[in-house]
Amino acid sequence: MVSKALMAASTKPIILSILREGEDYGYNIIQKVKTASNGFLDWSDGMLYPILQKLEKDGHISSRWIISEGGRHRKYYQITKKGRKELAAEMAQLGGMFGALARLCPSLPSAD
Amino acid sequence: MFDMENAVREWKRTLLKLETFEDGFIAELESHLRDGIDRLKEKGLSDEAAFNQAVSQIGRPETIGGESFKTKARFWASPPTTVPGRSSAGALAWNGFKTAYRLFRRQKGYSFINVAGLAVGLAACLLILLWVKDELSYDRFHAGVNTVYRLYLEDRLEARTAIVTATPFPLAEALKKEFPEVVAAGRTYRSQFQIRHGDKLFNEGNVCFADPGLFACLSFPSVRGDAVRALGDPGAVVLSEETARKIFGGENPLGRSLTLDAKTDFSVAAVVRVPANTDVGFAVFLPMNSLPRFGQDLAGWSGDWRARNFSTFIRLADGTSADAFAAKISEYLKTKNPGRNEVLRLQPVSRIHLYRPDGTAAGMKDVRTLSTIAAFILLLACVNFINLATARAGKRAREVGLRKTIGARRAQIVRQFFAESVFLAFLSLGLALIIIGSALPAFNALTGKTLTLDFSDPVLYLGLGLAVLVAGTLSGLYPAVFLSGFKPAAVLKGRNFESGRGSAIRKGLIIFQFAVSLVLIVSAAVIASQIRFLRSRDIGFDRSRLVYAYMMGDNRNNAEALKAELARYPAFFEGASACNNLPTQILYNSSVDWEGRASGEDMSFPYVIGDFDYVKTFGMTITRGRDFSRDIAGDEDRFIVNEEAVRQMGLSSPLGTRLRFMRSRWGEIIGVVRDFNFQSMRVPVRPLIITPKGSKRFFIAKMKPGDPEAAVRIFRNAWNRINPGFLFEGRFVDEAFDRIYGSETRLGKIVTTFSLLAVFVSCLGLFGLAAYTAERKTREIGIRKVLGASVAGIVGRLNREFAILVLLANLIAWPVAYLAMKSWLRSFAYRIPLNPILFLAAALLAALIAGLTVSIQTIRAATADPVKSLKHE
Repeated sequence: MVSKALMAASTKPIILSILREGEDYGYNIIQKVKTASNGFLDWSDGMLYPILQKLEKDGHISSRWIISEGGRHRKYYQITKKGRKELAAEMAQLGGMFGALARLCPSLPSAD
Repeated sequence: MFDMENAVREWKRTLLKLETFEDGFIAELESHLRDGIDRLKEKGLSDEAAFNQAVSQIGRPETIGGESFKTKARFWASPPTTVPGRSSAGALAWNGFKTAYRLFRRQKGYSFINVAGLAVGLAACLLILLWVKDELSYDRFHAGVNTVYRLYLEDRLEARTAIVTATPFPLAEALKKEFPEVVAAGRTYRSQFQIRHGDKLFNEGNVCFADPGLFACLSFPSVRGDAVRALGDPGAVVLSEETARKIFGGENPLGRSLTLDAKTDFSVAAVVRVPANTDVGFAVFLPMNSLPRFGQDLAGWSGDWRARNFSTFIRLADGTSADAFAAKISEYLKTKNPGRNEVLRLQPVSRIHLYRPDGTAAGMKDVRTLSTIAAFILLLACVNFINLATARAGKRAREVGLRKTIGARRAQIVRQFFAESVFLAFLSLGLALIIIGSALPAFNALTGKTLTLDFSDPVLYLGLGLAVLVAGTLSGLYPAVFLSGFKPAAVLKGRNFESGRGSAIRKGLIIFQFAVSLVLIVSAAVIASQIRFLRSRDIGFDRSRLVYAYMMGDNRNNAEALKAELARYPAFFEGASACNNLPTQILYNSSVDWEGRASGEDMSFPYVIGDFDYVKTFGMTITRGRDFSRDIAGDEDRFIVNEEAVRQMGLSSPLGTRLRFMRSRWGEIIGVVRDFNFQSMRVPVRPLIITPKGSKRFFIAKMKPGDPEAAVRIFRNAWNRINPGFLFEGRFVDEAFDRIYGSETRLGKIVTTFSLLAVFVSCLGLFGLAAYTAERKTREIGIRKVLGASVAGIVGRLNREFAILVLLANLIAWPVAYLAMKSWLRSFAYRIPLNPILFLAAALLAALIAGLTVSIQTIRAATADPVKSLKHE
């Protein structure tokens, strides 16, 4: 389990990272998070959507409705220019922090 | 069989109920759910299992909603119910008030009627409750009040039992000495004096002689000095705070001197606090052992177990059973007075104000009556609210339908309506407080009290809060349940939502309202005419044009000189007399015996000490024998009795019969006076003895018709010449007579006032309802007019509906009012018959008021241009 504070700090870069790979919709995003984290990040699915709303409201992502082949309505999200900048800034901060942690605590498990 | 589509739809409905979910958001979540289900089914799960697992993966809608809200929140938005960690009750109430406020703005007229009606109801109710609270507070402030009692006697006579609250002088000390249960005992002996300090001179009728032990029974705490020690010093006087302020203003009264009856000096030794809500407090307390300074023989009294002149108070030890102690002492007096059948009894001091000594309700009846009226007025105001709210249901039905369609649960709608009614109740309370504030002086004048709204009193806030809650809940209950029960489909299709049940209940409530108003009107009328009857009744003597004044101290010896002085003005005075009691209220009893009486126990008759001119001055009629005469020697020691006395003595020829008055004064009966009412007309005339010999306190002058002001002026001057240094305070006997019926008069006025309020509140409701009915029938009226109906015809048609209700209300009100008034009248020995005209008049009045109220609306509706109403509808 991941602590609430760490979760709050990490959701934004994680989602933005996923969307940097390309346009995607909610269900798929959550699957990717689960796969990438090996189940380490155990979000309840529904919690994703408020975060997506927040990101969209802040202008980091944008969305559009697409009707899939099965006739299902899906809302696809893309990362915006502002979102990319935000992601870069966040990654720089996280990188700095991990570097500091690694130097302070050499036995830290690597994130490979 | 699991129906996937249905399950998804149900799940969506739960989302709809949460206010923060927008449509697009729900669609997105639905799409997510379906993706999840598809994936799980691919893994081989059943429909149902896949659905359940997918739903649980998404998480609790409330949590999602809360998160979602945070992303949208603006600082002024009210928190929705889904925000975790906030009180949802508070949020709900706020939401309810907001909606209620909007509703109020939208429907100003309707809301005003509602708020005004409720405010008047609340104000009336609260005023009465203030009064009730004050009445109930009498003599409850004494420390350990449950152990403090006043003693009284029951005289067990052959025909009946008389209750006497005056007790023998030695009783208090004897009880304290002989019974360990009695930890303190004290006596009071009521008196009146003229008090002088410097150039301040006034008559004080509220004086008592008291033992130091009195302050151990009753809690009148010393503000200055030591009251207990003061009452042991025959030269000291104890004043109430109010009296001290009256005489000395802000100065320190201790050590200052007062002159009583222009003769006896006392030094102020203590000041005690005597609250207004006591019946056993006095303005001036004199030491019991100062009585000899006024020529009283204390040593003689100490052995006298037969004379009853003192109130006796005792305090019992904690844990003493009052009942057991009362049983123990009940026969005590029989050991002292073997010939008499006297029973000694206890009355809790806290019950003196509202109950008679024997425990029957006295003032408590008024408390109950007025509490009932208060409750009914509040109920009427609530009924108004219910009626108007359900009548407006038509307008709100669509709103309810809409709320339900988008997922409101019934409980939410009920809550909404409760919030609305509580909101209006709060508004009403504000208005009610304004009404109370401005009506309090008038109410105080009406009730003879000095009530205030004490805003530091927690009981007040509790009461107000409770009143609002009760009014709000009562008045919101029915509309909430009724309106929330609407079927949304029916309502939104425009089907008739005016269910028969609703309108029947509404009509029932109107009938109830008018029935209550009618009962109050009839009661007010009966009380008023009974009081009028008592006042105008021939009571056996003429109480008009009589002025009286108290004779204090030595001027009691100057009555004959004063009579001679007044006799010099034959143009102004017909005569004058001195006596110990006015014939309006004769208080004293004497044991009696007479020659030729078979035997039997002691009997006691009321008596009055009236001089030779008493019968003449009061215009009483001698039916047999003669009046007293100065020219016949020995008349001082003879008696006149009334007809009732002759009846009770069983004498066929009373004249010449020798009668024993008090213990040893024998004298013959020389005349019989026609019965007159000398006590309240609640009781029949009792036997009476008139004796000229004894100390007299009242001086009465009978004026000639013409110039009463000049006559009083002459009276005053003569008084000042004969009694230099004594104050003249002239009063009228007929006013004294009216005061005897003060409580009835007051009750009558209060009932009249509040029945008018009840009628007003009822009419307010009727007005609103008529307005609504007229509005609802706009199209019907339009069509009728187009088809040729006359305005009068339409008004009559609409009024008829309400007339029937008022008629039905009469059918209910009449028997209730009849029974209530019959029982009230039963407390009077002389009473009016219940006149059916009173009932008919009340009915007519109610019908008239209702008719006027309704007509204002119906005439407006009926005269409206039909083209307009038909075009719109």
